[in-house]
Amino acid sequence: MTTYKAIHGKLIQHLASDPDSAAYEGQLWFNTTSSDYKTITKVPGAWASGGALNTARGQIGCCGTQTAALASGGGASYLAVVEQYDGSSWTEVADLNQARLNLVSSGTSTAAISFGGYVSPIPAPDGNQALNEVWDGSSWTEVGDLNTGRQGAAALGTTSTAAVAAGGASAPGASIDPSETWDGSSWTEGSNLNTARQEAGGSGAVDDGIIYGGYSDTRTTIAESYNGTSWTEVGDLNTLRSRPGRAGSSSTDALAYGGSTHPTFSALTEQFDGSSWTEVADMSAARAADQGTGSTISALAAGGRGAPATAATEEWDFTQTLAAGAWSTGGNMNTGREYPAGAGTQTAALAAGGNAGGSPNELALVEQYDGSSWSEIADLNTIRGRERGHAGGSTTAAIVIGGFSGGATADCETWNGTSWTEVANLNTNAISRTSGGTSTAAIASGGGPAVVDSEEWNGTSWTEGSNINAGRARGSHIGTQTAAFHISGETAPTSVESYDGSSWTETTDVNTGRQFGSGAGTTSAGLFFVGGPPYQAKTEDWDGSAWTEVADVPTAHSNSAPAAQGTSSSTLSAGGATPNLATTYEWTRSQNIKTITD
Amino acid sequence: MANDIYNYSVMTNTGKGFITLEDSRAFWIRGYPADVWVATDVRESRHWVSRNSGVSKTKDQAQTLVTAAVDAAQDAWDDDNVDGESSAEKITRLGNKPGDIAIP
Repeated sequence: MTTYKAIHGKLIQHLASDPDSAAYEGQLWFNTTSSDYKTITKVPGAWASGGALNTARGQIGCCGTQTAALASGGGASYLAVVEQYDGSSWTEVADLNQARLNLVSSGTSTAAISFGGYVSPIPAPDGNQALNEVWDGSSWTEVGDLNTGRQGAAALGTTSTAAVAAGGASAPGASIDPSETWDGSSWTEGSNLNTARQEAGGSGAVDDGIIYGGYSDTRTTIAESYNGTSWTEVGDLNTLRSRPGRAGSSSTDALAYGGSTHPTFSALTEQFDGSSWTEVADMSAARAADQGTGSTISALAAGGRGAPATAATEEWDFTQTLAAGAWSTGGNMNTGREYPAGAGTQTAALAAGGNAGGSPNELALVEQYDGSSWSEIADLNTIRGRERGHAGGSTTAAIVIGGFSGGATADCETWNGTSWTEVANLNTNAISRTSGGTSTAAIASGGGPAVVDSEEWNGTSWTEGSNINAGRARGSHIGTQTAAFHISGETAPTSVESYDGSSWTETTDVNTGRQFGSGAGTTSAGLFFVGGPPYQAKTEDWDGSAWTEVADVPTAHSNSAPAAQGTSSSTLSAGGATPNLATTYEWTRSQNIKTITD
Repeated sequence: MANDIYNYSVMTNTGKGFITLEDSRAFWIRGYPADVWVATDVRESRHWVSRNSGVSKTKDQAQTLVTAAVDAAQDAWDDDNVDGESSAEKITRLGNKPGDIAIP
C-alpha cells in the first residue's frame, strides 16, 4: 500500500495547532488537539478590475500573461492599434501593418504573432485574412501567411514560433474545420476539427491544447482537445456561448469566461479539469471576452464586445490560500457591559470599565482575555462607563483615556500588568473623545460637542496637537499616535480623517457611518466594525485605499471593546449594547484550512 | 438573501465554540434579543442548532420573543428618568431608546 511518506518523502506532521502559512498548501497534518487530519487549499478564484485599455474594443488578438500582455487590432472600425499591459496599465505601442478585427494571437508581450482576421472593404475574396504578422517588441513584420484566410479562429500556443489556428470563418459567415500549425516560418495543414466552428476559445500548447464553445450553425458547447495530431471531443461547456475569453496551460486545464449568448452577453466563468467544466466566479460585467489570455490561476480579460464595446480589464486570481475573514464566538465576559474600553490583541485583551445597564451603573471592573476566557483583574481607580473612554496598549502595559464618570472625565490611568495608576489628565475634557495608541504614545481627538482638539501622550503628559477637521464625539480610532484614523462619529457619520503625526487630512469615507464603532489595525490595513444606533453588524475592511464591506458580526451591537492592538486579520469585539452584552466575537482571517473527513 | 429560507431557534451563546469560523463561513447567522437566532436553512446550520441544543421556533414564535424583549427594553428606557433631565441628557446617560426589530 502506498503511504504518505512514500509519496511525499516524509511522515504526516503532528501539530497541536493549525499552521497559518500558505507554505502548508497541499500538505497534510494531524491536529493533535482536535484529532483531525487537515490541509490548506486555495480559496475560490475571483475576478478583480485591472487597468482599462486606452481604446475600448472587442474582437482583439490577445496573448501573453496577466502581468505582461499584448492586445492587437479589433474594434468595429477595423483598428491597427496595439496596446501592451504591464499588470496595471495599458500603453500604446506600434500599430499592426494591416488594421483588422477578429484576429488571434500567440506569444508574449514582446514576441508574438497575430494572424487571420477580417477587414472590409479590402478585396481579399470576402475580407477574411490570411495575414500573419510577427511582433519583436518594437515593430510588426509580415511573415508567412495562413494557407486559408480566416477570421474568428481559435488559437493554441504560447510563443511566436509555434501556434495552431483552428477553425474560423472563411466564406462569408461559413464556419470551417481545418487547422494549421505554425513552426516559426510557415503554416502546415493539420487535421480537421470534429465540429466546424468560428469564434471558439482556445488555450494550451500546440501539442496539448483545447478549444471550446464557438458558433457552428448555432452556438455550441462542444469542446475538443488537440494532441498535435488529432482532435478529440471532450466534456462540453455548461453554457452555450461564442467568443469566450480563453486561458489555460493544457488540454486538461482551461478557463472559459464571458462570451456572446446572442442577443445578450455572458459573465459566466467555467474551469475545465480534464473531464468536466465547473462554473466558478462570474466576471463583474458580461461581455464577449474574445481572446483574453493567461492561465487558470492568473488570467486576463481585456476589452470585449458588450453593450457597447468595453475598455475594461478584469484579472482572474486563483492563487490565494487566505480565506475571507469571519466572526466566531469567543469566551463570554464575567460581567456584561456596554462601553468598555478595549486594548490588546485577540488572544490577550483587556476590557476596562463600562456600564452594566441602567444608570448610574458605571464600572471599575476590568477583565483580561487569554483567547478563550475572561478573568477579573485589578479594578480601575475611577469608575467610567457611558460615552466611553478608549484604551490602548497590551495586557501588561495599557492606558485608559477619559470616558464618563457621572459626567465626562479627563481622567487617565495606566496599567503595568498588576495595578492601575492615575496619571496626568487630558487637557480637554469632552464627551466621548476618540483615542488609542499605547501606554507611552497615545492620542486623543475630537469629542462632544464638536470638539476639534487633539492631544498626544508621551508616557508622562498630554501635549496639544493639531486639530481634526470635523469636531465630533463618539468616533472610533485605528492606528498609532503618528499614523491614526479618526473614523465616523455623531456629526460626520462617514468621515474618516488620517493623522500622519503632524496634521489631520480627510481620507476615504467608510461605507456605513455610525457612532460608537470599534476599530483595529493600522492606517494601511484596518478593520472597522459594529456601532450604532441603530445597532450595526457591519464590518468594513481597509486595504490602504478603499473600505470594503466584509462578513457581518453575528449580532448587531455597538459600544464594544475592540482588541485595539489587533490587526485587520485578528481582533475581537467584547461586550457592547443591545444592551449590556457579555458576548465576545472574534474576527479571524486565516489560511483556508480544510478538515479531511473521508 | 432575499430568497433565502431561514431556520429560527432559541439558544444561549455559551461563548467559545458556540459559533465557529467554519459555521460562520458556511451559513449566514444573526442573533437577536431573547436569545433568538436566525440562520440560512442549510444542513450545516441545522447541525449548528442541534450541536448547541437549540429549541426550534417558527418565524412568528421567534418574532414574538424578540418583540417582547424589545418592548421590555423600551419600557425600561421610558421608565428610567431623572428629574430635570433633558431628552438629550437622557440619551447621553442611557443611549438611544431601543428600536423595534423585525427578523428576516
